[in-house]
Amino acid sequence: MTRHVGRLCLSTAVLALAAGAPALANGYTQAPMLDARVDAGELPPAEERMPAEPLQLEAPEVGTYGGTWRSTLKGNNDEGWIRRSANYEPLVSYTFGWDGVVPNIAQSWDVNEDATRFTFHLREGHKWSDGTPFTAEDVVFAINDVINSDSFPGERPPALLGATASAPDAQTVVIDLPVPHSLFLEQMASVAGPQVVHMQKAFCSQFHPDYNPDAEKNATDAGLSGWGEAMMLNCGVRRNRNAERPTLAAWIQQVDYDGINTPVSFARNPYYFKVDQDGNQLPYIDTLSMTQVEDANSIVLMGIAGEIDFTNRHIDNVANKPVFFDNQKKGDYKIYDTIVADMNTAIIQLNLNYDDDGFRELFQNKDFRIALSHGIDRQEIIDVVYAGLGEPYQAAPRPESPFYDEELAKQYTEWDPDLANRMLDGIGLTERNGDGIRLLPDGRPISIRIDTTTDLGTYLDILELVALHWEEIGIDLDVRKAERSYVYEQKDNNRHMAHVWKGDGGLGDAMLDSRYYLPMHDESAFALRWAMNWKDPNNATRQDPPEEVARQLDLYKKMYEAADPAERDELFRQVLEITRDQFYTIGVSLPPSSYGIASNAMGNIPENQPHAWIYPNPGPMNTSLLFKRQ
Amino acid sequence: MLQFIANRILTMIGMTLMLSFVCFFIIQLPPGDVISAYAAELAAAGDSSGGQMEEMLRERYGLNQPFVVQYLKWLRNLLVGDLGYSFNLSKPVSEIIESRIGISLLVEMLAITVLWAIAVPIGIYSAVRRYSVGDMFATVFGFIGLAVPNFLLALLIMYLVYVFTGTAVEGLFSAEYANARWSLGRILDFLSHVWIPVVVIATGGAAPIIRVLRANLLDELNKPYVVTARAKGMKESRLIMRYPVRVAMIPLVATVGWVLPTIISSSIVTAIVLNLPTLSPILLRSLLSQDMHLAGALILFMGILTLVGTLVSDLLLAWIDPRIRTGMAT
Amino acid sequence: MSRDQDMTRTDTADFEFAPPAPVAVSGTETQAQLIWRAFRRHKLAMVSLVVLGLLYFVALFAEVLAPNDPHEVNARYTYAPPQEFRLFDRDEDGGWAFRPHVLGYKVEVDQVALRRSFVPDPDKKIYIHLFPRTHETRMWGLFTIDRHLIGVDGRREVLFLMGSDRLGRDLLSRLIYGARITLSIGLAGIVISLLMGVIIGGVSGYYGGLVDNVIQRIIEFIRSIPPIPLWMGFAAALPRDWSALQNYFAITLILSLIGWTELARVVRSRFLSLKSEDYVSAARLDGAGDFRIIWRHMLPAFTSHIIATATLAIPGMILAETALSFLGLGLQSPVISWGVLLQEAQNLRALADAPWLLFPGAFIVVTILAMNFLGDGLRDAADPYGDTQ
Repeated sequence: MTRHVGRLCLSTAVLALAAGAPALANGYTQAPMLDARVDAGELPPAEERMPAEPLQLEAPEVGTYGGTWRSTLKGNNDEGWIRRSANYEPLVSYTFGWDGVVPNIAQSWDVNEDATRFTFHLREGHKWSDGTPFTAEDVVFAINDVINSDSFPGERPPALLGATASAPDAQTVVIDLPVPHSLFLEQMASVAGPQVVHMQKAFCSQFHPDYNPDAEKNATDAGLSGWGEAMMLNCGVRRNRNAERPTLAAWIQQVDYDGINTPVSFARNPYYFKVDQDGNQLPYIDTLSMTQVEDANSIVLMGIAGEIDFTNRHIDNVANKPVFFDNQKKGDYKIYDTIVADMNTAIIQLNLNYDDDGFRELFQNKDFRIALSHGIDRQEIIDVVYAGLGEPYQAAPRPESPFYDEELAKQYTEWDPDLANRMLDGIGLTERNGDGIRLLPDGRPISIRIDTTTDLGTYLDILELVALHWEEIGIDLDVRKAERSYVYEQKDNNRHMAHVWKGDGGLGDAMLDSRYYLPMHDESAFALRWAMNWKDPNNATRQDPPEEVARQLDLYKKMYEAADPAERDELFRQVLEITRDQFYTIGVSLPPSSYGIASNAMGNIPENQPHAWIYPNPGPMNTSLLFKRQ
Repeated sequence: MLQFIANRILTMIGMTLMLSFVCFFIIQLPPGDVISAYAAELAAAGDSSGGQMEEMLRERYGLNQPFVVQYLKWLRNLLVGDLGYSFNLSKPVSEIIESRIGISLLVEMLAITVLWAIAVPIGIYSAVRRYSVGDMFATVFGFIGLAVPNFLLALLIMYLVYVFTGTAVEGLFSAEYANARWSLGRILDFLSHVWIPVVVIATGGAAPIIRVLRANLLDELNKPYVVTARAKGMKESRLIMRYPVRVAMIPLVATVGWVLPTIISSSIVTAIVLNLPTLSPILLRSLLSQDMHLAGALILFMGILTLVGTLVSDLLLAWIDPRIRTGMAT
Repeated sequence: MSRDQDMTRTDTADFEFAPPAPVAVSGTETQAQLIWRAFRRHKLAMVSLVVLGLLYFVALFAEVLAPNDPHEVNARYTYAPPQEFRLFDRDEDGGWAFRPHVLGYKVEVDQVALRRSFVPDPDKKIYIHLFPRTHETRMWGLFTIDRHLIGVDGRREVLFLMGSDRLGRDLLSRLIYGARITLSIGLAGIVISLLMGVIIGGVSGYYGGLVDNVIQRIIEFIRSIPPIPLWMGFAAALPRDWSALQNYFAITLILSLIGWTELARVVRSRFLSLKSEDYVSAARLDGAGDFRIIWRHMLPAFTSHIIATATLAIPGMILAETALSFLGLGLQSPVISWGVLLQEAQNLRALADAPWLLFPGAFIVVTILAMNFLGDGLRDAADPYGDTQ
């Protein structure tokens, strides 16, 4: 790992990085595919299409124009890949190394002292892909009329709920927040950020009843539940199914992504606002072609046949790596590394809010969880599943993180079945049945059922091994493969005994996605009822957490509202101290670096880029810089 | 006969109604609904689900209503020709079926034609030349086709094509022809793709036809009437084709009508591995995601095809074997 | 239709019921003996019988025959290829001696490709012994044994005659244990659906009229519900606290409750055409009961078809567990069956890097072929006209 992935900075100092390109005012070069259209008068010349001050990027290698970037979409709900690859264009974006926020669509910004008012300055002359001006009104429409409307079922970035936007002039957006938000810019740069610049008011207002009286009727006539859903389908970042929506992104979608059309293709946006250091208008690549597949094996096969130019989606697991490694020459591609932001390969979560009294009391006993943790031979798991890569690890920020805490990361990770057995005896679980499984005080065997999805193989491997390890300490782990919606249905209704998922929140996302550090998230499966206190305090299923947990939630809230970064970080450390004492979940190992595949013809492939959900790899690298050698 | 057909069609209408209820019931049987399935799919892809969206959509689609109310609503819409709306694909169900039915028909018909064209002659040959090398070969080959799961066979063929040619054969068209109009180039491109599903479906389905035909033909071949005909000097090929084959086909004909619903579902797993743009992957997706209207419409459609297929089979049976005609009339 | 044939059939059929029959084919032999004699001449069927006998023997004595614990994970040997097996070895004075052994592996971890590479080490000979003392197993869940048919000395040595899987478990031992479930549960399902198919189809075809109509409509209705949603629905309805094996057993039952419909339709269509045959009418006029006519006169007319259907249904049952696993409903670890093992081979990694994981497929093919040839042999032996060839 070459780059230090440090804390996110809340500072306008990064503005210094925002180099405009005044020196190149008239010297822009455009892609040859546009020449004919400009000559024919269909398109204005490059400098009229771009903002007065385009965003100038420093390409690692100045590329050549042309070519197609081929990749895949799995199934019909894989918008995630479109958002990561083609549509990551927020107001402000993460740096490549995820250690700060830099200008993107917004040229600059100001923040008031208590972090409640954020002012973004847009670029003069910035245009949508249909050639009409992009103004502050578009952003105001998105925030005030759509995201803050309860009828909109699409993605609503939590940071923007309750916010009001206003446009003092065409190039200025002011966003006022009801409470201070110390991580607002990081939220705006996250994968949810592009939502606010995703909706051209002229196009999207046709779906809004305030602007089009027929909007509701049009939606229900089309079989939809209401205007909000029509808005989500046509203008939301999730399920953006309508190819006709004008965009600010580097490529314009050509056909609807509806699960029927394949491939989903994209073509260059002539109005794109970025240039390279030589004044070449980006993107370099002319078109994108995303083939829709049903099965991940197909992606692997297309990959090794050299029919994919650049992807890491759905294929970057340990099992596939040898296959990709062996066929690099034949398929004329290479493997590039990514840095996994996850801090764990699998977090085993016993449901501390389980409805069954006997098991809930047992799960809530910290000594029981510690004993189980000592009962796992993590090194064997690492050797078997990860070819020896990784180290035993609990749910804790990664070693590269400024919040790394060795004790939190390493406590109870030694494999010590004797100690585990003594501890289990110590808490009174001495009775065993004929199979050697310990019994609850009420006589039932301690058999912990855990359902896991069929399509993510490594959980199954890990759990199969854990089941063998726990057999030695008299605990039965009943691992079941199940269809994933079944697993989720169980979890969402709190019917799960235990749950397993990878460890999100290891790097720059630690503070934003703290699901394993305290109960605050839909995915905090160890205590969903306690999590309601944070997520949805009015929910009927909410339960009062124990005192320490309540204190932790309180500290977490204070952290969000702390305008001073130092104070904020200190509060987060206090949150993590409680995590350490509570020991909610059982981690397994630190994931090794991951990978993607890239055709040898592709230039500017990002090596060692972080990979997380809220940091939508490869988006923040500026995919418009990718190019194809002819 | 007309009376018979009319009666059958009447019963079919009643059964379709029952079927619609059972289908709807089965689809909603697994826990969860289309919204939670959607959230789960996003989570599995590493994305987080959009919290409050779920409750809102559930409310709006009436998923919180009792099952019977949902069913009656669906049925009412069906009766006026509205197949409903697919949440998962955000499209009217009729539009989805329309866009895929043609290619599904084409692929399945091609596969079934090839299957029967190969299996029936082999079955006859196997019986007539019992225990010859050819018979043994057909048996072993047929059973390998039957014993290897289609899923694995499809994957294996794809991988072997890759090993030998270095290309990945996916779907039914290359990217450049996928959205194009039919042309000579597109037909050739189609043929260069479609052979894999045809081979997979045919190898998987050949053994039953070969074995059943062989077994029944063997029962007939040694019957005295055949021996007599042979003794009288009737030409062997004419002799076999004329009577024993006809009799031996009865069991096949009895179930041939059930080929009809395979247009949608015969090869769900194959279609998924091979990325065929047919209705099969859509059916599986809709079931897994409990997309009620889409799954309901497809299953009901398949059910109706089965009913029609059974009727067709019965009529064929009566045509092929006059004895059955009398049996049914009683 | 010749009258001859009908008479013969009636005769043979009556034979068992009338022991002091005037003339048997060769004096003292019963029909069973006759069939057995004819059957023994059928070489392929005899071989198949032996193969199946062996397979069931293996399934029965899996604990003794499996060289390794099928669940034992070997972290150093994930995806190890089958070891090179040799029967003879040079002894100290240079001569050859019969000492079966395998070559051990030099194992290297390739952390770039994320796998282990295995190079056979000619100097590392692992000798195979008969009945060595190795791991402990519960025999039939009754008593503990620690000796197994073959094995190697020493804790550090491993024996992977058919290679190992992704967790470093011995494929051969897993195959041996897997035979147990594969060769039992699936067959139970087939027997159920065969019986139901023949009885219900027979009744429908024999009586015709209203009975036929009702039964046929029921069949149509069952058939018109596509199997996948049906499985999914049932799977959801099964109690949550059942074990994976119980679940699977239930699903097998359900499968067989659907599976009978196809055979029933075939039986019925044959019955419809047979019941107007002279020999059936003759039997009826003779005062034979309905059941007797169906069982003794009509069914034997198409035993071939029933045997063919049964042998064809077996792969379906074995593979159903795989198809169901695709939906997350089938058998799953830690239960071992051939379908489960084959399912682990269904990805590109296995095809490209560990083709030995396809061995279970070969076992399924061999089993099915053997059952099929056995069926052929039985059919030929039972066919009174078979000898005319």
